[in-house]
Amino acid sequence: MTATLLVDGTDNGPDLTSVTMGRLLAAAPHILGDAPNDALLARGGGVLFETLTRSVKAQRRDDLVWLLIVAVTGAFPNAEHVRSARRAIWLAEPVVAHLALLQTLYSLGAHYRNLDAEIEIVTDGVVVDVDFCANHTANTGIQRVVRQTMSRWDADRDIVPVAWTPHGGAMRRLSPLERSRVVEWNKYTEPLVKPDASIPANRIVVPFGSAVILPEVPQPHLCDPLAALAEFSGNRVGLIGYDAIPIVSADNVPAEETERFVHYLTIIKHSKRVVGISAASTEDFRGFSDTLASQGLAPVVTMEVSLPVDVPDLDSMPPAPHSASPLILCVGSQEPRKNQDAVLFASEVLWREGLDFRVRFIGGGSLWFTRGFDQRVKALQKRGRSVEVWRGVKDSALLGSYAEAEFSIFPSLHEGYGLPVAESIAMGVPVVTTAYASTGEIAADGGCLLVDPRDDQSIVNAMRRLLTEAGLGDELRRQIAARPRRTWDDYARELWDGLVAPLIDTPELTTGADCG
Amino acid sequence: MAKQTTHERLNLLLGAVAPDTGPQPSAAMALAHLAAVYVEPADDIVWLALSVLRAELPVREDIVALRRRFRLEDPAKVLSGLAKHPYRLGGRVIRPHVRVVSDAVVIDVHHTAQTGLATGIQRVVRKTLAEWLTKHELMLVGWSSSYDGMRELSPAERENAAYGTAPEATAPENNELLVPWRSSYVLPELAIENDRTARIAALAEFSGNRALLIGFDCVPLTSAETTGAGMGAAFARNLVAATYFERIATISEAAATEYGGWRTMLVSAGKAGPDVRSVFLPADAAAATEAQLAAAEKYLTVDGLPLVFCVGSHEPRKNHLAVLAAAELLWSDGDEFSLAFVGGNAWGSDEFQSLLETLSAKGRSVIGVSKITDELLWGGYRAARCTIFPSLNEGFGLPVAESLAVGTPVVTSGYGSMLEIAAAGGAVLVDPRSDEDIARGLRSALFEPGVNERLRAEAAQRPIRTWSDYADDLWAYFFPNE
Repeated sequence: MTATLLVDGTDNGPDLTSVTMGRLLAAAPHILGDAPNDALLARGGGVLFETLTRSVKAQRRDDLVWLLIVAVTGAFPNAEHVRSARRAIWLAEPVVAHLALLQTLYSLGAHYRNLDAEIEIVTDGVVVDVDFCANHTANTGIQRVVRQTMSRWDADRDIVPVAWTPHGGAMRRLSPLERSRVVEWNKYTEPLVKPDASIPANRIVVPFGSAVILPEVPQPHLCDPLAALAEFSGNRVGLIGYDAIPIVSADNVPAEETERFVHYLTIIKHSKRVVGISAASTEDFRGFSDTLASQGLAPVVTMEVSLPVDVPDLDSMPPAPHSASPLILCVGSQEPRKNQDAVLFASEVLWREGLDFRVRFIGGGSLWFTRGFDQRVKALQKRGRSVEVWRGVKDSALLGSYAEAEFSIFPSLHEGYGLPVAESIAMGVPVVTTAYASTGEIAADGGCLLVDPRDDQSIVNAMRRLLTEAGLGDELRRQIAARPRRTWDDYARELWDGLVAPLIDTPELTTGADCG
Repeated sequence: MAKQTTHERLNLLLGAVAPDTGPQPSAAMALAHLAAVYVEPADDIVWLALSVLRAELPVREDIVALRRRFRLEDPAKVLSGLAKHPYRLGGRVIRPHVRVVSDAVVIDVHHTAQTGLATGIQRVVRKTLAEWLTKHELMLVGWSSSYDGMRELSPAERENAAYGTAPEATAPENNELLVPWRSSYVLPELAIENDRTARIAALAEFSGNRALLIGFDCVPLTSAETTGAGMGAAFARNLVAATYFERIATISEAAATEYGGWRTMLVSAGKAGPDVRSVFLPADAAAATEAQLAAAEKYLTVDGLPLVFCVGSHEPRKNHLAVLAAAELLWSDGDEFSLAFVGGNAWGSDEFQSLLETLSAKGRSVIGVSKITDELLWGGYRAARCTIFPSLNEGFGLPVAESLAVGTPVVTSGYGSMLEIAAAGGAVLVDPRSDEDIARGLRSALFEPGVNERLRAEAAQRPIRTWSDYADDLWAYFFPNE
């Protein structure tokens, strides 16, 4: 037989035969221990495939099963594919093992139609999956972390950034535009018309015996193949851990976010390392790792590398416009978890006490929440309260608001980090924020008043102090100026040392996963 | 029963929050007394006011919003607004009656009361209730069809909850809302309806009632690859409610480990979470008559070959594909035995059915029985030379305990709750992720000289733990001061 038997007859051709042969040839040294000799090659792709299957059967190694599947189909399998293929090979008589294997691979091959893909196997490398940042121009929380980190790693380190082929069949290298989106943010210009060849030629990247780094939360359709890669392929998987909000605060997120997250956790449970963006988020992932003993899995190593808080360059700050009525700024998406209703309430209490101040919310939100929130804002406006909501404003409006603000307020119920707190500090503006977890960690170096976000009175008290106590705001601004400096350079370096380096320097792990 | 008036509802609330005041002759006077109590009120009486005056258990947002209104507005005005329509809200008929129960033990068995199923969870609930009902006074409750409030079970529902003998039981017709106050709320079953878990969460966080839970496992969180769509989100909301419970009694140390890991995650939301402790489940050893034993042997075994018995639904987590693969490894080596599965199909069981048919067509002695009867179950346990249960993740692993309780050796996973059960003897431990290791364990339990006999001797020596022991231990953990 030849490998072209893998497809239904309509779209096979000579080209397909040679690329399939090429994929098998690329995998062969890893499976056979050596490049196939000329005598074997002369007998064609079918015999090579049969030989590879026999060798995998004899060696009983999961990583080789995974690699053989990828070589045959040009697609990354999920865990069921690997187990089915493994059983087919193990249970079949040696002479028909390759046929039994093909039978289990039909759906994978037919679904992704990647049979014409060329292959590049990356061994002992560092493969970084930046699929979302490569394909999107959104730049909020996670994307900012990824782009700040990748621009530095790309310059200093030997890495292979990858995205996925359409529909999530396999990893591939980035196009020049995609690469710019990931490592040249703020420097490149997004073209108005996308170049035709925005996706590189059909060539997949297959990490093998490598470190695979996931700095993003992968999209739902990538979770199954990534979980199988982590479990079976022998690659060492490491992740940045952001938060467990979809579990712990499941009542405040849409159900599909939680569904997505529990599938994300199926990757983590077979991974080697998770590095949290704060001490609190690291605890989230340590807690999950602690559960794994009950299913007979090794714990995932967790460690903390906190995101940086840049300190302001006070000389370059725009001068604050003077206003008799101080401005309180509340930045962040509007949703129940961020607790903006408590800010509205506390403001009303203080307005009734006769204090004079303005409140400005900046940020968007889902209609199911903002409809009610906007009504509550309007009701206050009707009573003459100085409160406003800005949505979709430019960065300059945000910066101007920070320059104008007396202080900002961010009494969120649950954060993996709390970027608005870091941002406010970087702008030199004091913050009222949640005492516990990640926001408390950021506040520890100064410049914040801490509150219990579930206790309205605590928020009222902190706001009142900042509005009425002479010198308190200045003292917090002095604390901000004295904060230790920590930059994205520091973060990118510590993340490499904490997440990537330990996954490279473990040669004993490259000999393959246990077999079943 | 006449519908309660606004006046009666206000007196009901007053009786709970200020029992010494006594019922007032007019709504206005009741309101005046209440207004004095509801000056910057504590959360528990805010929860109670919402429950009693609106005839619906509140969710978190209701309480937070009302708490803020009490701070900013005249309490009498807020209360009279709430009480204005005692059984009608926006044209919708709400409950005509509200009852407040104090100092009670309220057991929420909504699902168990209405089902004929007898899977693991229902068996735990029923065996526990049957024991507790002989020793303690219990208020058994279920939920309204819209899951916005609790109600006392009808006598038939109560019987079904405890014994499973009235699966057609229907709810009482009076549609009376039951509000626990200064009581203990026990949730011994898995609640995954979002409207229900949201109200349970608010009850546990705000009402001042003690809240106590039996924790079975966290599989939808820790093994999402083995559960159906939608379960992860529903279970996470169950966990949000559990956050505010006082105690969780898990059915094994393995389940306690899962809940313990989850509790660690709560710190990032500034929450401490409940006390978690394992109260280990017992296992039945139901008797089987000679006739039942003979029937099971006849039905389950082939050609008088030694029987391997596998109990459980064919969901991926139970790992039945691996059982088939391991058996085939032995059969293809010439070993002779028959393999019988008893359990229903489930999400993701197609591949299992397909492989079973393939092996059967190949002449292997394997059968699958989808309907479990007690006779087949207990007859099968006793007829088997060994049972096999290499699950990937279990809160307990009932078939392991049951097999050992009747003295039949078991091949099971060498970790988690299955290891805990096996620790007292009678089991061969395997790595369930390795078909070959399962095959090794199976061959040992079936054919290795002396092994089966040794395992049977170990199983016979296992200490006996009864449902009465379990129910007493559970009660003592939930109610330490009694």
